[in-house]
Amino acid sequence: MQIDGQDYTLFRDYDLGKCHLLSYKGKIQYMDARVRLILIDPCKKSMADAQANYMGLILTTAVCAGISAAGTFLKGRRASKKGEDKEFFIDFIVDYMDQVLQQKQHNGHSWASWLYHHVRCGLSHASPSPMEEWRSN
Amino acid sequence: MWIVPRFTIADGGVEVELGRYVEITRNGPEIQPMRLLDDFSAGWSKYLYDLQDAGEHSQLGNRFANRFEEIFIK
Repeated sequence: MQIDGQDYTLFRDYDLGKCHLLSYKGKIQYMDARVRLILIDPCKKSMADAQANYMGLILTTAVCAGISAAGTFLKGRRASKKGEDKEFFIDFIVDYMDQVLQQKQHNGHSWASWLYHHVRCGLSHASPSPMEEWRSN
Repeated sequence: MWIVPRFTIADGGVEVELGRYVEITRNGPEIQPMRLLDDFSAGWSKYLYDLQDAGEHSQLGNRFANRFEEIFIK
């Protein structure tokens, strides 16, 4: 696709020498198109048939990874200290996603916290011992 | 990132046929995956809109540009 008068594939390795040419608005346009291309659109296609193809668990994990990635853009850097990955994940949800995820479950944990510990980290690790952290909270 | 050996969510789960976005069921907390995807998609769009609105010299814009540079330029 064309952004700021240049052709971009939206794949990092192919675009690596050209991304510095992007304007601020061009960078936004690039990220908009890229996240739709590599995450949102493929998930939508697969989820249309999620009952039959058993993709529900995998797709939910992929969306959670997307929330984590979005959180690093919101914060301006990757998570590096203990607990930051959760903080970045939760902060994107709080700022940009449905408020129902901030509501508490009967055990006092929010849906966002459950999503992080049991879905995001329960299936694909993002921190050394997320389940231990969950139990200690 | 790797899939842990258990291959399951320890407390609750993902339920395609769930009537609500999230719900406490007899199986514990459950989430409807399509609603999660739609929610993330809308949130991502709103974030990008906020970036355009805030401008490149805002804190939001600076942070976005820093992260973009870390990943796609450096």
